[in-house]
Amino acid sequence: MSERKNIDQYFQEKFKDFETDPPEFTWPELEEKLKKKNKKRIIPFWWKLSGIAAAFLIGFFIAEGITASRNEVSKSVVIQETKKSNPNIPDQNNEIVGKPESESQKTEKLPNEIDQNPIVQSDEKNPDDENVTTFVSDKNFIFGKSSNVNSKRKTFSNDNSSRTVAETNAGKTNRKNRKSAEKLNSAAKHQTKITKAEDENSATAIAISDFNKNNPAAANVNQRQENSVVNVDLKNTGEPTKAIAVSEDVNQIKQSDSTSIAAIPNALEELLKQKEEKIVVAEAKKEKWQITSNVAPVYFGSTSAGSPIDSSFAGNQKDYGTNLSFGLGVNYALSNKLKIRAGVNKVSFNYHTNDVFVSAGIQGKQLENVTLSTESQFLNVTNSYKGNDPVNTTSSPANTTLSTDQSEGYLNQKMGYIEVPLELSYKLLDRTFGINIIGGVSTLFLNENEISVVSSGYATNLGEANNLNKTHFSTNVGLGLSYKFLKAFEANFEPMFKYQVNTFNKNNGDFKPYFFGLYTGLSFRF
Amino acid sequence: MSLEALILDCQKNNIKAQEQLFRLFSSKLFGVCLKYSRNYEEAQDNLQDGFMIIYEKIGQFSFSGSFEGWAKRVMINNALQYYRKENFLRLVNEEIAEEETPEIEDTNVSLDYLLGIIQQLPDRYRLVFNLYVIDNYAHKEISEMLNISIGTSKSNLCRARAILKDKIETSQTTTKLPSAK
Repeated sequence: MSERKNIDQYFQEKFKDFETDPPEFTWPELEEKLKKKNKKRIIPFWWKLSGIAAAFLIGFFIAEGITASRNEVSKSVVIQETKKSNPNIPDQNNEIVGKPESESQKTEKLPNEIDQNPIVQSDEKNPDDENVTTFVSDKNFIFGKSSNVNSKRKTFSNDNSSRTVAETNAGKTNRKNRKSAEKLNSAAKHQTKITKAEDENSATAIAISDFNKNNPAAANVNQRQENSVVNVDLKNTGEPTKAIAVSEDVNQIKQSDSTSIAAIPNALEELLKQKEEKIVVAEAKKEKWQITSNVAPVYFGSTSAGSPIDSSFAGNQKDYGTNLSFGLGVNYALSNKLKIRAGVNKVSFNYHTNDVFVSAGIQGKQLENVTLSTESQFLNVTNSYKGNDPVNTTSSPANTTLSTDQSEGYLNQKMGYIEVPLELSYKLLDRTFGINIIGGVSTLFLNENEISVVSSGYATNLGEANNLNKTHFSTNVGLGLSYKFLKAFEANFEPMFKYQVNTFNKNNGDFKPYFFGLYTGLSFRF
Repeated sequence: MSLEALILDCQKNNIKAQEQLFRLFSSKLFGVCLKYSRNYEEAQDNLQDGFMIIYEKIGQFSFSGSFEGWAKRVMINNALQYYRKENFLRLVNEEIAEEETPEIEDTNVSLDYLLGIIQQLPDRYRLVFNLYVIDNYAHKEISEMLNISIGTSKSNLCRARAILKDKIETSQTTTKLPSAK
C-alpha cells in the first residue's frame, strides 16, 4: 500500500486498460449524422445545382450592389428632406434659441470641444451687426438637415446654396457609412425631444420677447411663425447657441468616427477567423467540385485570308469583330494538380468582308455558299474589283445594266454557337494565387447563322451560310490564373486560344478561323 | 466476422458494419477522449467527431499496423484539433528548469478521482501529460503536434506532474482513502 512510485509509472499502470462505455445515445446520434452524410453523397447532383444557384446569386448581388451604390446618394438626400419637413423641426429650433444655459450644460456633458470645430470659428468671426439673412444661412450650414424647412419657406436667396452644403455633407456621410448616418439622425431626434420637454415654455417666452426687440427686417423675414423668430433670436443669444449647434455637429462627427473605428477591429477579427477556418478546412478535406461562371471578350480571326462566303471575296479585306462569350462550368479535381473541366458557353463571332458592291438586279446573283433569303433575291453582291472578278464576268446582263446603281458596302457574317468545352487543367502553382495550364477540346453547336449586307447605313439580311457544320470542334489551349478568397471562392482569369477544326463542311475558301477569349469569372468550391 | 472484413465493409459505408465497429471500439476510445477532454460532455462530443473522422478516413487505413492504434491516433488528433481551433495553446515563456520526476505513495486512489484531476489540469498541461506519460509520445513529437517548443512541452509536463502529485497527496492526507470504493 505504501510503496512509493514514480508518478508517471503510477498513472501508466492506472490507465493501462482504461475504458469506459460511452452513454447509450451516442450511437443513435452518430448513426443519424452518418445517414445525413451518406444522403448528401448519394445526390451530389443537388450540390451542383446549389453551386450554380450560388454563382447566379453572387452575380446578381454584384450587379445589384453596383446599381444600388449609384442610387444611394440621391436616396439619402430624399430621406434628409423628409426629415426636414418633419413637424418636430420647429421644436428643434426652439431648443437652439431658447436655452443658452441649459444647452451649455449639455455641451459640458458631451465630451465635445467646441473650439475644435472650424464652423464655430468662422461664426465667431462674423461681426455682431451682421444681418439676419447671413446668420440664418450660417445656421443652416451648421444644422444642415434640420433647419432647411425654414429657409425653404422664406425663400431666401441663399436657400439653395445652404441646402446643397447640407446635402453634400449628408451625402458624403451616407456614402461612407449609411448605418452611422441613420444613428446620427436618430440621435439628433432624441436630443430634440429632450430639449423640447425641458425648455419649451421658457424658450418660447424668451423668443417672443426677443422678437419684439429685433429689427424690422428680421421681423419681416420671419413673420410667418414663431419658429422663424427663433432664427432671428439666434443672433441675440449669441455664442452659446452656436455652441449648441456645433456641439451637436461635433457629436455627430464623433459618433460616426466611433462607429467606423468599432468596425475595424471586427474586420480584423473576421479575417483572423477566416484564416483559422481556412487552415482547418484545408486539413479536414479538399473539396473536389468547383462551379465556375465566366464571361469573356472573344476576339475572332482567321489564320489565312480566304473567304467562306464566296471565293471571289478571298482577296477582300476582313474586319474581325469582338464578341462576348458567357457560360457556366463544372470542375472536378482528379488529383491535387489535375482537374477536369466541362461546361456550357454561349459564344458568337462576326466579321466583315469589306469593299463589296451591292446593286439591285432582276435576278440576284448567287453567292457560292449563301442560301439567299426571299427579300434579298434581287440583290447582287459583287467584289469591287470588277475587272478581274470571275463572278462578275459570269453575272447576268441585268446586273450590268443596273451597275450604275451599285453602292459600296460590306458583308457581315455572324455565327453563334453553344460551346461545350471539355478540358484538363494542370496546376503549376497552388497558393492564394494559382497558375494552371489548360488544354482540351470544345464541341460547338451552331445556333445562329446569318449573313447580311450593309451599305450606306442600311443592313439587309442576305441569307444564311450553307457551308457551316451544325457541329464542329475546336482545340483549346490556355493559361489559367486564379486568386482564392473567402473560403471556397476563386476569381479566375483565363486567356484561351481556340482553334476551329471543321467549321465548314465544304468550300471553306481557305478560311481558317480561330478565336481568342479572355475568360474571367468566379468559381465556388464544394 | 473478422476485423479485417468489418473494416472493409466500413470502407463501403455499410451502416451495420459501422455500428459494429463502434460497439467494438467505443469504450476504449471513449477512455482516450475522457483523458484528453475537460469533462464528460466534451469527451462525448470528441468521441462522436472522432468516429465520424474514422468512418471518413477508414479507406486510408492500410492494414499495416493495428487498427486500434490507428483509431486511437485519429481520436487523439481530433481532440488536439479541438484545442487548436480554440487557439489558446499559445502562451509564452513557460520554460522552467526540469525537475526530477516526483514519486508518490501507491495507495488505492480511485480511477474516477485520477481522471477527475487530469481533466481539471489546464488544457495544455493535460494534453502534454496524456501524450507523454500515458500515450508514450516523445517531447519532439508533442512539440510538433501542439505547435510548441520542446522546452515548453517539458516544462508543461513538470507542472502537470506537480499539480497531480499535490492533488493525490492532499486526498491521501485529508481523508484516508476518501474516494476509494
